[in-house]
Amino acid sequence: MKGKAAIVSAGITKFVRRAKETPKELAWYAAKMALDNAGLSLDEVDAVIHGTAPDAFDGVHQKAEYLSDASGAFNKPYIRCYVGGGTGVMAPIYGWYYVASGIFDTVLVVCEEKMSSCRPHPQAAFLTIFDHTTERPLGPNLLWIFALEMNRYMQVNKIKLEDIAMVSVKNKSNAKNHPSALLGSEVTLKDIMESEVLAWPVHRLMVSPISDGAAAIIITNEEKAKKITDKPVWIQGAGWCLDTAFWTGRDLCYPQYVEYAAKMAYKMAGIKNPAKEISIAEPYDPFAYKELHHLEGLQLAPKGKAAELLMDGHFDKNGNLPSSPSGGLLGVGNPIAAAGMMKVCELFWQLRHEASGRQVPGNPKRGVAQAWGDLMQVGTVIVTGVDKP
Amino acid sequence: MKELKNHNDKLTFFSGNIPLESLYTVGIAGDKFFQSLKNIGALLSSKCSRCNYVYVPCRLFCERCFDELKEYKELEPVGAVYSFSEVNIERDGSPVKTPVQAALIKINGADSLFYHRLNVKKPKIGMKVKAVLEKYRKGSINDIRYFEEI
Amino acid sequence: MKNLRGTGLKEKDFEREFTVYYKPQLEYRWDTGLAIGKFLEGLRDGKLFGKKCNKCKRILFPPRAFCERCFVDTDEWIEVKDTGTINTYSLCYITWDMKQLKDPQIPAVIEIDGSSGGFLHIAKIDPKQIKIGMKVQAIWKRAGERTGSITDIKYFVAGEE
Repeated sequence: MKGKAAIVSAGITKFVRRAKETPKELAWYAAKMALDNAGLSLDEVDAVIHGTAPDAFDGVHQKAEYLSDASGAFNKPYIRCYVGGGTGVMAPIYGWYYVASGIFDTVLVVCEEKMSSCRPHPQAAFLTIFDHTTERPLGPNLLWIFALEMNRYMQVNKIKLEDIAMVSVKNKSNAKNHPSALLGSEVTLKDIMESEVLAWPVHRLMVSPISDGAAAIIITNEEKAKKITDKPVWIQGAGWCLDTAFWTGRDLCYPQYVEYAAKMAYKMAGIKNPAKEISIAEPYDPFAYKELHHLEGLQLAPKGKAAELLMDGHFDKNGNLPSSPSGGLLGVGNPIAAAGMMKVCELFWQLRHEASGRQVPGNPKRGVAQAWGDLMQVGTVIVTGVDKP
Repeated sequence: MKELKNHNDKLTFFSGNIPLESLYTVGIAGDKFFQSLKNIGALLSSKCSRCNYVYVPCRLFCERCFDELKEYKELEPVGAVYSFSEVNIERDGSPVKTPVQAALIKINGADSLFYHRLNVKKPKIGMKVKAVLEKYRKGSINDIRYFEEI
Repeated sequence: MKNLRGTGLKEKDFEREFTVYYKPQLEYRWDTGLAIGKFLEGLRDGKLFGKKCNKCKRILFPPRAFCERCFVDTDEWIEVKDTGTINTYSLCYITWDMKQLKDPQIPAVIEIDGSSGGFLHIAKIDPKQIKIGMKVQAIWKRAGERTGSITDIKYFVAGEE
């Protein structure tokens, strides 16, 4: 697209296990913070996008309509973005094409999730992702598909469980410096390996926690961006892709759809060698193995080799390619759509040198954020950077 | 969870459910509203200092200006009927025992409308009404039994 | 970034917080459709059926009315075997509502012999013995007990290598 779009501001709440706030109040905290940081009033926003995952979490049908006032959509063009767990990165992509197409100058993108409302457990909301006739009678739960994918990934690539557990160690440690974090702490490999086995090979501390929270960004065209900040973070590329919903009929060891989405975004951004040209990665890490799986899909590690690079310190905060310096979903928390948006916010703060204790060293020029969801088959990818595309 | 085996002999369908339950918190502003209703039987409002719009139940923010609302004020549960309907069927289509008088009520001193039930002989738009409160209140919208004619 | 908002509650706080509880009545009747309807009839008869796409030559299993890759109607019905290979498995110690299980459930993706796909089912194999790549064999309910459900196969056990 000819038009340029930049992220000029971000806002976020704390991520907590059970929020006292209503979903509206959470969304408003994040949206208001993004507006205040940009010095904008609601009048200056042309359109609003709300990203939020299944209605069943908040327990409100058509929940984007319910959340519209809190997202600043009063009397404005408004749309919901919903691609399951991929929503948190797809919603900013909606914002990008709204602005880059020239339809709107300034858009507010808000993501919210309140999973704690869902009882007896948010997994209830996921039961119907399994086929009602051929799978649900077997009594599946959500952990099954991740455990099955993880086991396949480990077997095909001969990856040790201990190496995957190191993703949890890294991310929970990074999250100590994130003011939103629910689970930031120094945990050891032993802690992870000795945590309860939920669905082997998945251990409890390899799973991101159910959380409530919200995050928001403001995207503007070049002219508005210049007025708001001297450090706009440009959206250089975007990509998305969906694999087959017949999940048992494809090889789970590699996320082909993430590769396609990433290549679409890299092409747009003019990136030829992503592993060299990207300074920071925020891959989606709801489970420890997913970060490695996604780094491979994002072409930031050779197939099956992400674990080796991890063990070499390549993805540490001070490594060659810091991955999840935010602390990721494993450390900060996983209020689904808000968690993906948190990753986009992290790139914004890192690229502006505003990430305080989490700041990666040097002079990062460009980052990639990715989210994933639906029945393990949607990949959403955004590339942002300090240079105007 | 119900086992999904309730299919017919011709195998053309499967029956099942989604075992969801929700537990909602009332939130930051909601907490203030229900404390007020429970403890003193008042309707707590919040006013936007920028546009002067008064919300009841009180809210944390103004959807018009996006400001945080900090001017809270207890309102008497008294107002006028703005619109009403008499509901004669249940959600499944069966007739109700007693018709429900659903109403939007303009509470004195508020700008937003308040949704509740009436219990009057013949509802009319503009009718002055006041809330009849439960004696033992627990912090629920049903602490107001209904609104009756003044 | 210092004073982020958001108020965390503990589970026990719900005893004193004002809350509203709601249990929606979500009851559904899902149509089995063209392909799965016939698949279920096969299960009742103790047989497994896939459906072939003559364009990409895949034998889709469980059968589907259309090929999502070629975007055409699928063609003939093919009876496949009730044996296969474990593509991946898990030892699951927890139910969907987080109740603990002493003995693990073993969900597995099983590649059915004579088909191009895998499907989800349950393995009943010693957790110490189970491996990816292991051959497995379906154990069926008896003829009179089968109702035309995926659970007409009770589970898969280790098969002949």
